[in-house]
Amino acid sequence: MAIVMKDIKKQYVGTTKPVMEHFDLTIEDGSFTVLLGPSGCGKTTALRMIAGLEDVTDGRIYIDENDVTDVDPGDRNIAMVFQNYAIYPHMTVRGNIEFGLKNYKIEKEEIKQRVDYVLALTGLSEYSERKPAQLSGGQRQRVALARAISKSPKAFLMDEPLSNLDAKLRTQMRSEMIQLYNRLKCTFIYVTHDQTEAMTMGTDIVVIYKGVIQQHGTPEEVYKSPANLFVAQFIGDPGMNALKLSSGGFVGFKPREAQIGAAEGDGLKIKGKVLTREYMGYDYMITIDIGCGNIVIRNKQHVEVDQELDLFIPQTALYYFDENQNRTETVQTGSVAEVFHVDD
Amino acid sequence: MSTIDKNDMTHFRKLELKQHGPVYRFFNNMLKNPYVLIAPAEIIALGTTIFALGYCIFMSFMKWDMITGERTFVGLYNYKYIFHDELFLTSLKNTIVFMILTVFVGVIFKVLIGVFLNKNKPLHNLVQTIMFTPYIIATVAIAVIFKYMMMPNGGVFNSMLAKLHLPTSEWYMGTKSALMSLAFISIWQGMGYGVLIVISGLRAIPNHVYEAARLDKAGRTKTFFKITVPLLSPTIFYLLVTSSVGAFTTFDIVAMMTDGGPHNATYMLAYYVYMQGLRFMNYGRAMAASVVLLVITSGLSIINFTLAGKKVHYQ
Ligand SMILES: Nc1ncnc2c1ncn2[C@@H]1O[C@H](COP(=O)(O)OP(=O)(O)O)[C@@H](O)[C@H]1O
Ligand SMILES: [Mg+2]
Repeated sequence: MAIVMKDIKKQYVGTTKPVMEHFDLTIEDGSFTVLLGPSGCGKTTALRMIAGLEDVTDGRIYIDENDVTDVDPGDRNIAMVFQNYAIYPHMTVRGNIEFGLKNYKIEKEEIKQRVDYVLALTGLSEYSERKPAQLSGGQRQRVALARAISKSPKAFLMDEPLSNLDAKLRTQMRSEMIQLYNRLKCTFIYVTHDQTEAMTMGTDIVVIYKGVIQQHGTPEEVYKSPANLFVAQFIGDPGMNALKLSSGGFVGFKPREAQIGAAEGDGLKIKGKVLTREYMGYDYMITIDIGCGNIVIRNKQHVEVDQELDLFIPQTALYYFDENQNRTETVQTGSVAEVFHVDD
Repeated sequence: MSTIDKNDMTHFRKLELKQHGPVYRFFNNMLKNPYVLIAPAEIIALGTTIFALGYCIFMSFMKWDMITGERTFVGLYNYKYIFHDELFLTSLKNTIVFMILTVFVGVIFKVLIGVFLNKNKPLHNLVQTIMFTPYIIATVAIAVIFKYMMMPNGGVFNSMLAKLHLPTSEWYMGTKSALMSLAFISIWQGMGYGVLIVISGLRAIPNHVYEAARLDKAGRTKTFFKITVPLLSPTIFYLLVTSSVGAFTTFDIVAMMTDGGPHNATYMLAYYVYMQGLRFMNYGRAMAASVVLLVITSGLSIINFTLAGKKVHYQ
């Protein structure tokens, strides 16, 4: 089911600045689309407008070519999983799932079948009579998922559903979520500020910054060919290093592309001093002071703090951005003025 | 460089204790006991209530002649007397009716108005504040005000009803309407407080639960009964307990407005106790009646806590 946000404007009552303006987004049928961006960029707002929990100030929203802008959330054929689960604390697990189904006037037999199915699917069968207070965080998350699945909606909307779980459980749920997507094959719209989650789960990533879509593409696209400096620095672990040039343009490189040691050939050569060295298991994350700011590289080579380093980044690994921070194929030249970070 | 091992650490701890004398240690240990800390308050509270309670129960088995000051043990005579006393039975009945009226009607309105006013808009807050004022006005003053407003001839209530071409009422002067009138005043007086409690209960219900209900296609009525009421049940329960006990001990509006009349239509237990004890000087009977009052109110609390408590959802 394709979901289209057309020329959306959203301004909260009592605020002076709109969260977004002329916001256009098409979410392909059956995609796992991740809305990714820093906190406060408007991801949740966008998702809630699709769900119908938030009014649009201007513009239209279409689901399957139907204009749903003025349709109640319950009639949009979507299900939502909230960050804080939003399960009903006074109902049992079964009651939580049944509540919506009853409202949709589904027959008793069918409700029972569906509930049993989703309980089995989410591994909650033995907890069906428990109250949410008697469940762990991960189990509550599953209840929220089960409730969403039981409605067999055309689209699942999820707002940072994993952010309240501990790291290990999050990794596990991430994989379960991917399996779920592969199984259900319906549209997922997933909001997160965590680029790792976005890269690992999404088929499509929509990078948003300050209410504006920066890039919409596959994980490979946003990683390998970022549309602008913001995307380049937001994606990756960590993001791209960027050097502002005297000409106004920028040159950038990914932390893993920097080679340690002097080298011959075309490319960027930098000298610097090691500030910190963090052991990451497979390699080190090294912060280097290059005189006009700090850069971060990832390298397997062991270096000492305060060590003077020669760095080399081959020409083919360099990215260029024009003075508007947009990606360009034109080689930018000039002397390095400073290390640059897109502020967020 | 010296190392510190476990033994050294315990040694340090011992040293630290030794710095204090036995007196310090005695009080220090004693003050770690929570019961010691609440003891002063408990002693005063228990002293005043338990003593009064015991004295009251004791006196309910006595006949106390006010002229000679002589007390004689009469067993259950006082109880037998009051349970054969038409006036006592009437006041018992009136009290129960009054309680049912004020508690149920009161709680229903408190919840409904609370739900209606639960918006953080200036007008809603203003209304809420205005509603709260009766609660901080002395009941005596309220009773006087209503005595004038509810006056069948020339009172504001009847004048208004007449202007609107609605049937007027005898209010507290009519045998049939008197108890209702007092219940009305009592509900009105407690409304602001109740609404405040309900609103704070409502604010504790997270908004996302309501959003989930919207996505679950639950309408307004369904949301109210299946989400709001169950999640508000601890608050409702609290209101039930406090207002039912409050209703049973109602005294001041009766004394101020009706003196139990007309035709004993508003004679209630607390007023009966007062009349027997302080007007007719039948201390024994007054004490027996107040023991009955005590049994009923404790019974109510127990019923509330066990029966209603089971249906209450605590998060
Ligand atoms: N109910 C609201 N009223 C006013 N401003 C809001 C409200 N909700 C969000 N905002 C503002 O809108 C912006 C976008 O918020 P949000 O969509 O929650 O961002 P994100 O989910 O990307 O972190 C933020 O600046 C936030 O402060
Ligand atoms: Mg958010």
